[in-house]
Amino acid sequence: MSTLTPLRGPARVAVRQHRSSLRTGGLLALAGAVAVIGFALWSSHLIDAFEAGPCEVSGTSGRACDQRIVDFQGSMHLYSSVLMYAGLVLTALPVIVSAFVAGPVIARELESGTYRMAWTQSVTPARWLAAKLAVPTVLLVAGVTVLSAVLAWARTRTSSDFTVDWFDAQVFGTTIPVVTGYTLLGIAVGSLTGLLVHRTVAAIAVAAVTTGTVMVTLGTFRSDLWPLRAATATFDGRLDVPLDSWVVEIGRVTGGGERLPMDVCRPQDDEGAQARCLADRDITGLFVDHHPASHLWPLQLVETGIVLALAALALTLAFRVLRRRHG
Amino acid sequence: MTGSAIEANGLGMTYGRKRGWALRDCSFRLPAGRVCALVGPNGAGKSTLLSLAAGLLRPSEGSVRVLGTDPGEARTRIAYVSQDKPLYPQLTVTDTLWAGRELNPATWDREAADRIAGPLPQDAKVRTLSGGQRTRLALALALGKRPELMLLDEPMADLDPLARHQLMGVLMAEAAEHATTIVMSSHILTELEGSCDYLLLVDGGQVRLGGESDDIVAAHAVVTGQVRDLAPHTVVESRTTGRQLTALVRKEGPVDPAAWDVTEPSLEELLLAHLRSPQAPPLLTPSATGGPSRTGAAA
Repeated sequence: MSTLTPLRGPARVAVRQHRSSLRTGGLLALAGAVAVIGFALWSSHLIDAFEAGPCEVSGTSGRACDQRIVDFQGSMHLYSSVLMYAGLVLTALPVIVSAFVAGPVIARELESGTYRMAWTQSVTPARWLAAKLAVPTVLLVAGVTVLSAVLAWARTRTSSDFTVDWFDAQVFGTTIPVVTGYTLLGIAVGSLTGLLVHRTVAAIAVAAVTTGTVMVTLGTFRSDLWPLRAATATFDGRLDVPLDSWVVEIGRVTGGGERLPMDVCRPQDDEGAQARCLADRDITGLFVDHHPASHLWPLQLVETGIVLALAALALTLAFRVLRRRHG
Repeated sequence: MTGSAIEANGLGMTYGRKRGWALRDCSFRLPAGRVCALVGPNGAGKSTLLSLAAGLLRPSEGSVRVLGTDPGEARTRIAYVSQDKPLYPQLTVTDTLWAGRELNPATWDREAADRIAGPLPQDAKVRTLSGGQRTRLALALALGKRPELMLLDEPMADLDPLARHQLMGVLMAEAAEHATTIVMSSHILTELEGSCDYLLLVDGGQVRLGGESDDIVAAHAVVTGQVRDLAPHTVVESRTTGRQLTALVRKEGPVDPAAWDVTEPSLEELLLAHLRSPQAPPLLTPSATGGPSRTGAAA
């Protein structure tokens, strides 16, 4: 705790300075969490009521059930949309965080010159920056943890037809620790951008684009971050791929073990022609490259590791820029 | 010899290759305990010099030492008020003074700050204050810090004459009571004349005059007489009307009172003469030079 003491003064000033933004952010997060919890309870209630009733979604039943099923499915659809949008907002949060840190927190001080007031008190620029970043870091890590947990719990309160998979971007990206890692990356990129780009609006734009680009790029290569498991089977055999797996690629294999894309010998009207095509190329079966559900944690940890390494790099550069320019 | 408040050695600052040098090859010393006027035309490098001394900028070349150490090391002992008086616009007056206490826990003197900030509307946000009120608040922060060295960049520009008089009085009392060194920049000398006992004239990125105001004035003379050679004295500026010559000279030895009508120049005359004559060599009195006297000799 004693190492934090020198940050207390500047951190308290930073809190007071951004009081209204912090209050707004906190209220929005609270409102979001309450709304998601409310919807989750409502959904649980509907599911219980529906299951207690005489109707079944897949069952064949009389006309009396049709309306009830339509209503139930409609409500579940609405609920899954709510979860999806909540997931999108939480996924995009690091971009917003990055823009906030770059613009209002750092660049505005440099642009308006108020940093000169701060740095000529008994506070070194490095401590000033550390305090300014510590405040959003503590609040955001706490907030994101709560929101991620609420969202994960809410996803269990949906009917079986509307479940989402662990590898969906809105689920994977809002799971701890990846979501925490990206939030920290947003703060680090924001601080570096704010120090390099001294104008508030430009810094907001640059930071948002940079963080967004890193997120999209890593998201694109997400499935490559841990070795895929390959399953192969002959046409008459059984594929050993659990249902909750993330199927990354499907293709055909030849007797010699060579992999061919799926669209070789596409099903044609003439079944004989397709069979001949397959035989000509010695295609004997299918392969499925996939991540079983057990890969969730290795994938999460590797991605978080990369993100944290990038965040550390950005933060180191930020402090170095500060030191070089301003002593 | 007392300690140095500021000591510059070959100090130079450039804001980028295209924009030239804001300050170049500045060497001077300001002894502690002085009230120093930092004067010079707009764009002379006054603000740059103060920012360097406050540790906000890193010199491009040379070095500046403040209170016997690095400006960054001396941070807790320096107060700096920059020209545009940057304060957090969304904080109130009370919040700003509270921030001063939070950011200067070791030295904060609430009474000193309140004495200056007293007349301000305490619950008003800084963004609603007038220029003069902001100056008052910025000075309150500076005084509340109880510094050993105050660097004030154009501190009086926004103030009405009454406030200027009052705040100048507070600053002088502070200087007298706590032996605080004060450096005040201005391009209007009359604003500072009478309050300051030390002078630095910066022009074109160079220090051209430095030393006790009295000594600098005493080193010069306005001479009037028949047109003739003024050697060995250094002519800063001269003007002939018919056969009559009037010149401001830097004395090298006594001026012959039989040949010339000699008067002492006013400080303002002296500064204007130097600003009009960029070729006049710089003059630093012994107390304003780091080592033994390098340039000229004071009377």
